[in-house]
Amino acid sequence: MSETPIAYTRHAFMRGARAALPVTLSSVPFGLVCGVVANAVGLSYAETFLALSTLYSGTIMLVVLANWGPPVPIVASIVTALIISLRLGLWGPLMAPWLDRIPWLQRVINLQFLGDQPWAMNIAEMRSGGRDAGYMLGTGTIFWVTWLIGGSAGYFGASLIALTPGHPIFFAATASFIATLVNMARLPRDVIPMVASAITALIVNRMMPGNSWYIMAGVFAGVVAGLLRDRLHPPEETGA
Amino acid sequence: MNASGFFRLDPDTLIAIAGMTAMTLTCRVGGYWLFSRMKPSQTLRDGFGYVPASMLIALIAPTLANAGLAYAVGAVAAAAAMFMTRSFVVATLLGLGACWAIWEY
Repeated sequence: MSETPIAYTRHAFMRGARAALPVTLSSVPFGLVCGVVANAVGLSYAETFLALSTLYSGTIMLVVLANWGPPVPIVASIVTALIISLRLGLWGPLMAPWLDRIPWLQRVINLQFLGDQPWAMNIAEMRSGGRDAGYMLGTGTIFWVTWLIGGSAGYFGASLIALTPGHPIFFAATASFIATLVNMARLPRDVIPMVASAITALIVNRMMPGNSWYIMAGVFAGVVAGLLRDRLHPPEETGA
Repeated sequence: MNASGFFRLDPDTLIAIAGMTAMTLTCRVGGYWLFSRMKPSQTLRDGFGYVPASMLIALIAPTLANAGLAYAVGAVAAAAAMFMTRSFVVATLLGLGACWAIWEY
């Protein structure tokens, strides 16, 4: 490691923002879908904006809204958010070389508003020798603003068409989950966890329809199945 | 504009959003804080690693099982498009288009 101290400058902020701009376009459809679904289940725009801007997780929004009320499933929603967010706990430590050098409030802001793609961009920047944490805030800000624009456009676009409960537009959420799954499933490593999770989710959903506990049950079964398989057949050092 | 009103803030919805935001914040900031002090065990890392795929399939499977042909066709189209193009935009639009076409038919 070089001796250059970690900086936090406006210059790097602008550089990160410029680098993020073309990449953000790929996140627009996901935002649109979130806005459409939020409108369809009856959230007001104020509620939608709050969820888009502070919760800042399209996956959590789509999962939770797929099983929305009335009544509002408060406990199930919060537990779902916890389960989905767990993996994010492993992200911050990798950004520690930058985060450790900036004020605490700035650390919290940078951590909360770093999505999947900007996070990957920042890891790449850091590994290529980047020594300025302003880059992180620049990428994060651009993604956050684009996300709000996409989600809002989806929300208002959806009010232009009459959405009945069985409308195929709702399939957009499922399609986006399928695309995400195809993109990030590690084969063959994730196959056994996925089979265990799917079967468990189907059974629990059949037994307890109308809420989202089947997701938690599926995740639990998938993680347990994966860890058990690793115990019985340890993955090779080079693999996965 | 739908009947729910532009600025309505339902208390239960607010509690749910605040609670969910607290969870993401706890995981993101808490993970940084905790694992800057202690190294996460390999089992914990592996366990977290299985969460995303397990979660997505748990979400998709019952939806498809409870829906009709249009969703099944849309699912195959979305998966195939993502596999071939690796583009989130193309996969979502093609999947939605296929589903919508069958539904209209």
